[in-house]
Amino acid sequence: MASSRLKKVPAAQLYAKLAAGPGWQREYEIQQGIPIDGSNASLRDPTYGSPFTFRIMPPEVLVNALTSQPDPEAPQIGIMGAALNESSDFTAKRTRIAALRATSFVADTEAGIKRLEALIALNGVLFDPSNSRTSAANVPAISDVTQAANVLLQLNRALQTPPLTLLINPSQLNISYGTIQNYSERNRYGYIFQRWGEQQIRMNVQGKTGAFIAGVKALTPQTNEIQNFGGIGARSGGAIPSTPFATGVQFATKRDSASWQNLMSLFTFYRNNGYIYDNLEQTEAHLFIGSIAIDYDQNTWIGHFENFEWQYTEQNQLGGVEFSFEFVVDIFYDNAQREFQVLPIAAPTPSPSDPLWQQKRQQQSRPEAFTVNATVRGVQDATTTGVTVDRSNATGIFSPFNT
Amino acid sequence: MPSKLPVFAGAFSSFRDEVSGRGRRPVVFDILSSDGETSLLPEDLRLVLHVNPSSMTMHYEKNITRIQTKGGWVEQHWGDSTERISFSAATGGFMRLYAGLSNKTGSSSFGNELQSTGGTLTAVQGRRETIAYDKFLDILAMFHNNGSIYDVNGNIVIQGYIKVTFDGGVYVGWFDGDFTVTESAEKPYQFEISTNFNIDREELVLRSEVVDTNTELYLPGTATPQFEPGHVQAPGGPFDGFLNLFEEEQAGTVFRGVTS
Repeated sequence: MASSRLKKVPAAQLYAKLAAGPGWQREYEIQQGIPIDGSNASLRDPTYGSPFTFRIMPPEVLVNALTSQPDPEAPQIGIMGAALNESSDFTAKRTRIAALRATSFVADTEAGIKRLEALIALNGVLFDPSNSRTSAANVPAISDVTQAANVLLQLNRALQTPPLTLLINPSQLNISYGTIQNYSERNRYGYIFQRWGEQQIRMNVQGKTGAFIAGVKALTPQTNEIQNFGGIGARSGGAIPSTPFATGVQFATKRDSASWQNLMSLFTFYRNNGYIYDNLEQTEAHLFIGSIAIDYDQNTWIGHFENFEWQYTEQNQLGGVEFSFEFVVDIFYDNAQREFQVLPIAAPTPSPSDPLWQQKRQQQSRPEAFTVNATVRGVQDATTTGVTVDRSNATGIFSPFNT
Repeated sequence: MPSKLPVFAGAFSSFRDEVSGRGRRPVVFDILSSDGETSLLPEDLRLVLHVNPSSMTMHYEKNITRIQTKGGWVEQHWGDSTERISFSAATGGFMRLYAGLSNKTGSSSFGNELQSTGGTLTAVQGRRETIAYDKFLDILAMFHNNGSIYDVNGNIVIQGYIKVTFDGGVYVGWFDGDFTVTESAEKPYQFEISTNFNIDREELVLRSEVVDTNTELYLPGTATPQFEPGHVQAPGGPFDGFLNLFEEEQAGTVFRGVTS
């Protein structure tokens, strides 16, 4: 395992604030060792690898309401309106979420969110008629300011939650497209074809985590002690000190390992499922329904987890926990750009014999010189807004620009 | 309990083995009262199996109704469906001192006859007097109990819970469906057990490195979230090398089929 492959992984606790249903509780201990990801990080490189990423999508109705924007994807009355409105571009949705981030409903500091939490804690549980505009006899789901603050808090937490990338991509991704039609009824002239459209897309995903590996932080050269554990590690004059916690590859390092924490973060996403929960009353009556987005292969699938499974088996004591889930898609976006020329693919791993890899290294040292690929035959493509074409820098790298 | 204690020890000496420092981590079963918290078993008594289950599969399901309308699909989200754990376990070998593995079943009625006639019981002792069999009967008894408290007529008067604990996970609920015991010629000297457990409440103790939300979710010294569009991830930072979708989207570079 080359040390250059090892990457620090995001702390599991970053996903701790996602709300979940009433039957599930979790708490986070501060681990003493460090999680080690033994997988090849370059394979999930955002640009040159194939990351499989999840993120929380806030409820559409909230986004539209809080930004005071009409939903551009809402059904339109009339043929012309519907035709003009039809879009398979993910840009509109992204723009509206970005607009929501800019509003005063989204806190720009952790302190702002803490104030929301304090407001909820002080007001307590429903129902306080003094801050409600509704009568106590007709209590709606969002009955007062406390519950509204609860919604806002969960929305903030969802927007604050970083995307989750699987450390190891699924071993199997099965996407099913189904029709709703019938060709079994017949009359005197033969069979009649009846069609009602299509089923929602179903994704069946199976995967396996990496091994359970955890380690210790490096010894400080001055004291020969394990960092953060002064006095616990043996001062053994150069010998590797013993640790008061499990390290290495073994079942005992399960909860400290990056692979397990990655799986549990995914499980947290399953539990959240994009919902805004009524976690004041701990009911299953959700206040709003957001969704989960899966990004992979330049596609974005927005929908919901249907189920989730994982298992301990005696064959996988050192890790390799098998998991599977089903995901039902509401909206699907193919974000791939039109290509005008098929070019050689860059190797995801360093290879001195790969000229494209050498180019990549050069470009990484001057990233501004590589915002190409936004023109088609030299003509600005209006659909790829936000990308600046620096033709002078691209010249010499791609032959189409030399013409 | 068998009349003569088996000599062999199980894989676990106590339900506290997890904290004994001996590297053992048993699946622990407990019976809780109807408050869902108080154990009905004596303080020092919990059930651990002779050997841990060979597999525990966690099944989770959302309760979602989908209706096709003329305006498209409508989804109704009703929360979580019933969740369960599927257990598969082996009892462990029916092993006796001096005899080794044994499938000898003996006969208690035959033994009583021998006893009444002054005979010896030695000949009838078999797998029933092994610790593996004994533990099998324990878990079967827990399945029958399932957290219920009965009156003298055998009617359930109070319903409690079964609590399963394993390595940072606490699952409170009840055994459900079948408890299947299989004795097969291919795997002699032991039983295979399978059963399901409905989860009513789940508590997980996870671990994480320290997160300072003020510095890891926000740029140090600023009020700007890490994922604010336009922010460039610092090399070596917590998200270096991970897909910062917000940033990439804003820059318009994600999903754009980079060709170099």
